[in-house]
Amino acid sequence: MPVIEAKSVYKSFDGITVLKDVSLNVNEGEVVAIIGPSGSGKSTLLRCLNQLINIDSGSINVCSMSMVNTDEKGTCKYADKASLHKIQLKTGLVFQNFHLFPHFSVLKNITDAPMQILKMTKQEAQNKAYELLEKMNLSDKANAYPYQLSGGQAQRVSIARALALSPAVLFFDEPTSALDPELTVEILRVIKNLAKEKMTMVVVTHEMSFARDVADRVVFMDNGTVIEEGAAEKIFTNPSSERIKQFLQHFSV
Amino acid sequence: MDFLQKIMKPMLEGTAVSLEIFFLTLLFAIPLGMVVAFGRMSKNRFVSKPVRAYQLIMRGTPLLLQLMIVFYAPYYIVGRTFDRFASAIIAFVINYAAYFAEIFRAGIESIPQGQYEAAKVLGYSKSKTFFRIIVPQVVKRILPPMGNETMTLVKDTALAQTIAVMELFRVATNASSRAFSTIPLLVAGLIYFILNYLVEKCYIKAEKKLDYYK
Repeated sequence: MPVIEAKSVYKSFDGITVLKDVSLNVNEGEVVAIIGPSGSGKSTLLRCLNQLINIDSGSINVCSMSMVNTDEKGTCKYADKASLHKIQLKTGLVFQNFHLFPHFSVLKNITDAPMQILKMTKQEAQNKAYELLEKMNLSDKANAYPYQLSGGQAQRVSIARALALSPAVLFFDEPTSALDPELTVEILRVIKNLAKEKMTMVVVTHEMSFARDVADRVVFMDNGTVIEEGAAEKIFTNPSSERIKQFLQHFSV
Repeated sequence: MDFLQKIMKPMLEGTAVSLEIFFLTLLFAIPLGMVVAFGRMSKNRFVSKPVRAYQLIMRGTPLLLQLMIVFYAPYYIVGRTFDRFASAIIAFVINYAAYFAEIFRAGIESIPQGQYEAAKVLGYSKSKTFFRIIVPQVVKRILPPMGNETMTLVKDTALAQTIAVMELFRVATNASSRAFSTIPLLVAGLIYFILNYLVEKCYIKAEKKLDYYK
């Protein structure tokens, strides 16, 4: 079952086209890695799929619900506010720079949205939060504040915060780019474990070995378009496009 | 000693009036300042431009003059003046709201965009994002400049004497000229100092209370 269906997505900022006819399908339980040079539109695509940016044309469905559609005349129309909110809760996003709420404790960072948005009771939300913290190996940090955490811990909290809403798909926007190699491994291990549990994930990353090991499918983007996509092994060992070969030359995977 | 006793009662009454101006100004200027800050940040030029003009006038002309205009202008327009005290409050409120608005604006604009984005992807509505995520962080950041403005306001209440409001400084000046003595003025100075010492203490306390996060 497809969780994400994006078709012919176009987006430009001030006359500069950032996404040109981008299509992406993500099936349930699948891990998709999006790779490509900086400025290729990877992050922009994630932000469109999470409703942080509105697209110019194309269509996006999440869990078979229509987020945005473009008719034959080219008019791009978003769903009503209530549907968009419902879709928003189906998708989670983990940022490069965590963006934890600094005035909330670790526990509150994780419980606040479930209580405020899903109207969970405090008990339910906290049980879930402790469960997630244990999974993230952070049980002892429940009462700490974000400023007291290392980058790796902060990123694991932000993953727990996203998972607390039980999204159907979790997006990662370069989740390790702000971390040193040691902490990077720490985060990649967490994502790997989630992959084992069949969590549907889309990861924008520059960690090529991770993309090859964990992703079921790799999407290579350059200049706002998808150049090639396919099984990870195929993309890394036998890509059809020269551009990928050129890009991957710089990595020893 | 006798002299001090004699002037203390009117001076304390004057202090009460000054405090009334102080608290009423804060009470109205803070919410109005919020509205002004939002007007100033509006993407609609027909809102932001006039708001900016209002702030420019309030910040660009003497508060002393604004007090006089608020009190005397109605006489030339509708042929009568209104209550001195109420006029003073209006002048203080519209003046301080212009300054507060800039502090609020600086505070709100200093919150990283990522906080809004994180809240949005977690499903927070616009108002929940503002009140649960943004405002608490803004409050912490604007305490020092707000402390500045609040202490200035304590002293600025003395300007209400220009439209003959019997606040502390006017009482002190009257007593001083009646007795050919500078002592009432020094006592007034001491009272302003004590009030501002208390204001400063409140702000220190509030800052300490919000010190649990960075």
